[in-house]
Amino acid sequence: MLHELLLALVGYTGDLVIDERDERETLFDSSDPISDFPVEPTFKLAPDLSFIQPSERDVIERLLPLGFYYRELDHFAAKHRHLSSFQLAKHYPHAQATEVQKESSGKASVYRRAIANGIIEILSVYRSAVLQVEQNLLSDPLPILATVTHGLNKFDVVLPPIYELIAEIEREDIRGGKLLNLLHKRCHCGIPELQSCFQRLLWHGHQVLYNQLASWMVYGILQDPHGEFFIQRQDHRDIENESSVSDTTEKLMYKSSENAALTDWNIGFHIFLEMLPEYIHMQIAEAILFAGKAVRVLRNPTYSFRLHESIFQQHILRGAQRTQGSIGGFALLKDPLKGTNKIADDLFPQSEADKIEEMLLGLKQSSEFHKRSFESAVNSICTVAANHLWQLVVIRADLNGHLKALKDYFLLAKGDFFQCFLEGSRQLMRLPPRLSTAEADLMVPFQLAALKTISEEDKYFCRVLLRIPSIGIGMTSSEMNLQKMKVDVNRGASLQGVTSSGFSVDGWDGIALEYSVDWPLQLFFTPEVLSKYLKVFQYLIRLKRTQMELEKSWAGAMHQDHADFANHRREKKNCFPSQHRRIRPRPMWQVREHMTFLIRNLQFYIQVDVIESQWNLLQAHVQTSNDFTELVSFHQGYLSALISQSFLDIGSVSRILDSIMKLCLQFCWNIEQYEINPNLSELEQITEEFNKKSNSLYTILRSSRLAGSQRAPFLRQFLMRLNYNSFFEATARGVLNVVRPRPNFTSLA
Amino acid sequence: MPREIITIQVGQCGNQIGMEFWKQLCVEHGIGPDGLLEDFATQARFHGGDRKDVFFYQADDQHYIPRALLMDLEPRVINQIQNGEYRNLYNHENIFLSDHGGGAGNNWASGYHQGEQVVDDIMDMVDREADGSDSLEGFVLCHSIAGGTGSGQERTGMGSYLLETLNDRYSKKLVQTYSVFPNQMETSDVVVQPYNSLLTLKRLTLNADCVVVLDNTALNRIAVERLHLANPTFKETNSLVSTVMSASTTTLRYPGYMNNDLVGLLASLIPTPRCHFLMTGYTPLTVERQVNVIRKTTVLDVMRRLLQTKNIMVSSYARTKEASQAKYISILNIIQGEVDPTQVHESLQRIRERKLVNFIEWGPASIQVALSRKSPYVQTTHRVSGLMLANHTSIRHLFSRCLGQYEKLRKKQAFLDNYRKFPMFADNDLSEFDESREIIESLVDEYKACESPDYIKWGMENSEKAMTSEGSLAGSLDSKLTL
Repeated sequence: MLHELLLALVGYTGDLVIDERDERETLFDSSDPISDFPVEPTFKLAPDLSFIQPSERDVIERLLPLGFYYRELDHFAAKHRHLSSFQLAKHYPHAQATEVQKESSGKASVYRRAIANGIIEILSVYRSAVLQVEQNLLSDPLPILATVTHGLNKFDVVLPPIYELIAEIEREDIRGGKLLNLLHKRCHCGIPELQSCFQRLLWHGHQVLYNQLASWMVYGILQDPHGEFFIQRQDHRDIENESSVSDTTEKLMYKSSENAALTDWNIGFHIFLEMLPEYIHMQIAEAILFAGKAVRVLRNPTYSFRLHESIFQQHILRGAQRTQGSIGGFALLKDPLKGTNKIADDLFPQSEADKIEEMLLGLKQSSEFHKRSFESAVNSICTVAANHLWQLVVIRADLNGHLKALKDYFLLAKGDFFQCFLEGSRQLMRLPPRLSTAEADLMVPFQLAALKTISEEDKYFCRVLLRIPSIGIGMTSSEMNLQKMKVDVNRGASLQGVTSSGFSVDGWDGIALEYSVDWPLQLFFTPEVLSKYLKVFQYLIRLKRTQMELEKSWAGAMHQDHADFANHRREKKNCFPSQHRRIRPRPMWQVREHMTFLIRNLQFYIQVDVIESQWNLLQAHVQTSNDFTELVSFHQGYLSALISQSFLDIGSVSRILDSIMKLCLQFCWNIEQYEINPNLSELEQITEEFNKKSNSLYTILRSSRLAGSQRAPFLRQFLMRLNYNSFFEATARGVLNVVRPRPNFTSLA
Repeated sequence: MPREIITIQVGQCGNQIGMEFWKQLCVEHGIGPDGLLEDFATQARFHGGDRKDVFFYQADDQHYIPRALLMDLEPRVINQIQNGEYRNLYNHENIFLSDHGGGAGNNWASGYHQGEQVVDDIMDMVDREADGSDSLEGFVLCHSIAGGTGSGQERTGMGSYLLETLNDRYSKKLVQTYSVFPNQMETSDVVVQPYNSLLTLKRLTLNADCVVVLDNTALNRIAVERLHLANPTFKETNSLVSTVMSASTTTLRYPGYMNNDLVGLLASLIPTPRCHFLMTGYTPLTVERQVNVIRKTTVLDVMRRLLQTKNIMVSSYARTKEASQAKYISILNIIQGEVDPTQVHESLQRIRERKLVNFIEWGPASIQVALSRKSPYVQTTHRVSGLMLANHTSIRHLFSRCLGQYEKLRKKQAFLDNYRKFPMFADNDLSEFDESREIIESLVDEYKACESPDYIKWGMENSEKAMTSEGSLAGSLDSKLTL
């Protein structure tokens, strides 16, 4: 009977000990899911035994739950250790595994399997305790029940909570990070035995985590067949589709693999919050995400980059070999990819990988999870990765050169080039752009300007591409723009019909630059970053256009003045009555002067106070930093400073500056037409409008609403330039006082 | 692009300045005296980022040749150039020497007349040079408005004639001049100097788009006071001029975001067509043997020093009362060197707070600060250097002085006979003198009017005087404006 009991204690029921559940199942076929994990143990002594004393029955009934727990745990462990399913899953992560998963009840989980292993460990302790008890019983001439009770007493505190745990796991289908989370929480308990059990289980769980971390941070591979890692790939299907479509030609594939690498970096992976154990801080998770992505990038340089590098290396090699005879060099050239593994090695040397692995191994082996040491390890791994990535991006990929090039072209630092371009395209830009050919039309002056000002000196120029967004390939992204431009063009045309002054405002403002960056710089110059650059560029080029028109107009007026005098003299010589036109309408000079002043000061402000200042800051950072993440954030800061300090994000200011630019252009074009078709009333209108705008610009710059904002210092800087001799202020005040003579207004302004 | 600029050097002074200017440019661009790039410059080609083609073009054999025309009526200075170290730099076809040889009697009219006679030859040269450029921006003329103390003032007449012709033929091109004004403190040994000055001034007023005034008096003073030279030679004062010239062209030669062409440079400085006379200041000034003098040069220091009259290359002839009324119409500072751009704003603010600049009241005005790169080949001990181009009303006192000297002479009817010999003044027709005087007077008036807040009204009076249909329309527009 004692053996019957012992057997029951290791999960086997019989006549003596029965499972109530079985009973119930035979009685009613209830399919209540909770009954899988009954809250109360279901092992009971068979009720019909009469030879057992009630006191003994009591003792036995108290022991029996252990057997029940054992059985359930064992069952759980066996289920999740289901080796074949795991093996399969490991080898065919996507296809077969899913089927297998479906076959085996519930979804497979590596973590659960690890827990199961842990449970087996615990159970084996229990089993050996039972064995011990059996031996004790056998050796004892007078076996008593108390021996059993005594031997298995300590499991009373251990097994029920573990059972509760697995019950919860099964019930709520807890997997991955959540599982760790749960275990971690359970570790906090006051019972030493139980705590050590849970810690052991957690340790098992962490083994999996560390393995995943290692594959992620050492090899950049996501080894996570069941979606349990807290870093996950996004949009599986999209990327796969993309690559499957592009299998057609090799070239395309390289391209798409490049793209895939890029998307990998940008959006390919993300932190899956659900699987993130709560005790791992978000920052740490991000660091892990970054490190993995960095390693991924370092481990998989794209084809073109590899090719480039290896050819470069071979150049060196060949150069060296040329002295000895060039046959060897040819052989090398035939296999350009030969050296590629070496390059990947260069990018991320094995020693570094080993170091990371070692760090993780150290963590893996410690029996307890120390948050502090874990975090510090992750951080140092992250630093290592960031360093290597930095080296790749900054040194190998010549980040600084590209930054400079972006400044040259997007921030118009190569002023002569753009001046030449705008000059060349001036006639073209006076007409509304023809939708079909605008880009091609502009290409001519663009190339010409490049030829004249840049020549072969600038190796970055070939990366710059001119676009009129609605027309080029970028169709998809700018359908909206197209619509807008159509409207614009229409309006321009209609205006042209009405006023015949030939201004069309202005489809050309959509001029865009594209900058093609090679791997791995896409990591740095993300489309988002480039679009910010583009925004600034479009603003600056409009400013430049306006400035140039104003200057042209100035030069024209200067010439007119000379010519007028010459005419005057000739007339006088010919003794005509002195009907001289010497005096040009002075107000034109004045209005133009105000316009020029405003535009130029805005330019000076943006160039000196904003671009150059920020650029110096960025340079200083680039020089001192050797951490990729840091660099990215500096660069982000640089860009957003450019945008915010040139007021592109303050609607009121940028709108007014916009309309001022428009007015300036209209003014210039009108003046130009003046000789042929003097249209004073329109000029007058423009002048009036301009004065109004410039006054309201003053009001806005001074307004108390913006005074409190972060940008106040920059607004003040700009205002200081505009209002250097207080003229701006005086006129604005004068007008304001006339227009709305509110008593307290001046004091406010 | 390049917005080419053709430099025309006329006369002794013009050629001397020009020579120094080209020397300076060669050094800054790493071009050797023979026009070939120096070794260091070819190596650093990718880092230079300079535009040599604005002022130079390349011959077939890679020589850099200045877009310069050298003209004189007497051979002395040009011979010096032709025998000097830089003799191979210039295109020898671009040197014009009058067959006439030595000039006749310091007479503007003679020079003007001679100019008329050789105009075809000269314009051939100009045309050839202009055709050789891709998009010619304009001309820079170096000359002296009345010659030095020596002989040969008739060359000023030639310069004047050239100005008129350029204006006629290249009406769409800009003409900027670097005009050296004679020393007003010493009485010149050329007695007719006031006549010549006045006649030249008229052309500068009417036919030039911008005149950079360099006053020999001030140049001498600066050489003595700032450079501590006891007796500054012409060469030394001329090197000051060439410093100014090269500095004012840095934004053209080292292009940046702005001011990459002459128009851009000038348009903001010259708000009204007639007031196009600019003063310059430069700091820190050193000559070669003084390289060991090191000064602290922050942006504020530089900008402050540029505003000090002692650094300005035009003497102030104004009485103190007038001087206090003088106002800046516009200022452009070109700052070269290692500048922390954030300092610019601080300096501007400081200068405004301290009220160091007195600006006009009738229009917007500010100190524009352009940052420019520095030649990588020139080592200087100072980190920052600055050039100021300023339109300042006190320049009228210089013109007044010229007028005064002219009046004195004219009252006496002195030395007019020499002029009557030439067609312009034939038949005792001295209307050219009168007209010139009138124009200069009106110029002085206009500058004076600029000092008052109602300068705009001054314009209106004038337009009323003009009584043309345009004028009245302008008037109506004007009244709107002054609202």
